[in-house]
Amino acid sequence: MMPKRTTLCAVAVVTLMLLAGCSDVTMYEPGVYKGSGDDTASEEAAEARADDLRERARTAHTDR
Amino acid sequence: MARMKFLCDAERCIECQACVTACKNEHEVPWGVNRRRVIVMNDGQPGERAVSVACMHCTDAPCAAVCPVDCFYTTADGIVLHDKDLCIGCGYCFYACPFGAPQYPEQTAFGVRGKMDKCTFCAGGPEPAHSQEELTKYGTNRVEEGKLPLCAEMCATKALIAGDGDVISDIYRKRVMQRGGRPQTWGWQSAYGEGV
Repeated sequence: MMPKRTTLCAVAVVTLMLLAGCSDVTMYEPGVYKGSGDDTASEEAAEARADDLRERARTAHTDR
Repeated sequence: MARMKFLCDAERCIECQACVTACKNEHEVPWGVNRRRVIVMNDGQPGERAVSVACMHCTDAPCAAVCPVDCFYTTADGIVLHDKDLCIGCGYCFYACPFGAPQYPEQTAFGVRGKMDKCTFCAGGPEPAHSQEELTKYGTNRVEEGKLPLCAEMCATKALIAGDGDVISDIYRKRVMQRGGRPQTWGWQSAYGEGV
C-alpha cells in the first residue's frame, strides 16, 4: 500500500495537470455582439457603397 | 460615414400597402410576419394620416440593449441587424422596441416563439452575401448591390424615403419648404408643440 504522503503528492500533481487545461476560459462580456462576422458590415464595405446609395436615394426619391 | 434611415412623409402616404407587399414578396417573409406595416391614425375622420412603420434602425437601439444573448449588431452605415443562429426568441426586443418592429413566426401550436424576424433595411444578415442561407434567414441583400430598400423604391407617391440621413432630410426639407408649412412628420407636434 502507498504511503499517505505519496498519495497526496500524486493527487496534487494530477490536480495541477488537470487545472492547466483550464487556462482558456471564455469570459462573458455584456453588450458585445456574440454572433458570426458580417463582411458587408465593415467600414470599408460601407464606404465603398456610400456614394452609390446616396446617388440612388437622390434619383429614387426626388420628385420628377 | 452614411447613416441609413427611413422617413415616412405622412402628407403623401395614401395607405396603399405597396411597401408591405413589396417587402413580403422580396424577402419571401413567412405567413404571420410583417416586417413593415401601415398604421392609420384618426381613421375615417378629418385629418386622417397613414404612416408606414418598420424597424427604424435606431442609433442607440433598445432591442440590442436588452438582448440577453447579444445577437444584435450595427453595420458601419447604421443598419441594425441580428444573428438568427444566436436568437433564443425570448421576446425582450419586442417589448423594448417602441415601433413593434420585431416579429415572431407563428408556425407552431401554442404560441411558441421562433427566431425573431425584423426589417433588415434590405441588407441581409451575417451569412455570406447572396447565399441561400442569407436568403432563407434574412431575405435579399440589396444594399450590398448598391440598391435601397425595395419598400421605399417602390413607393408610388414617394412618401416612404430611405437612405443616408443627410440626403433624405434634405429631400424632406425641400418638400416642406415647397408646401409652405411646417413639417408634418409623425409626432412633430407632440415633440415640439403647436407653434414650432
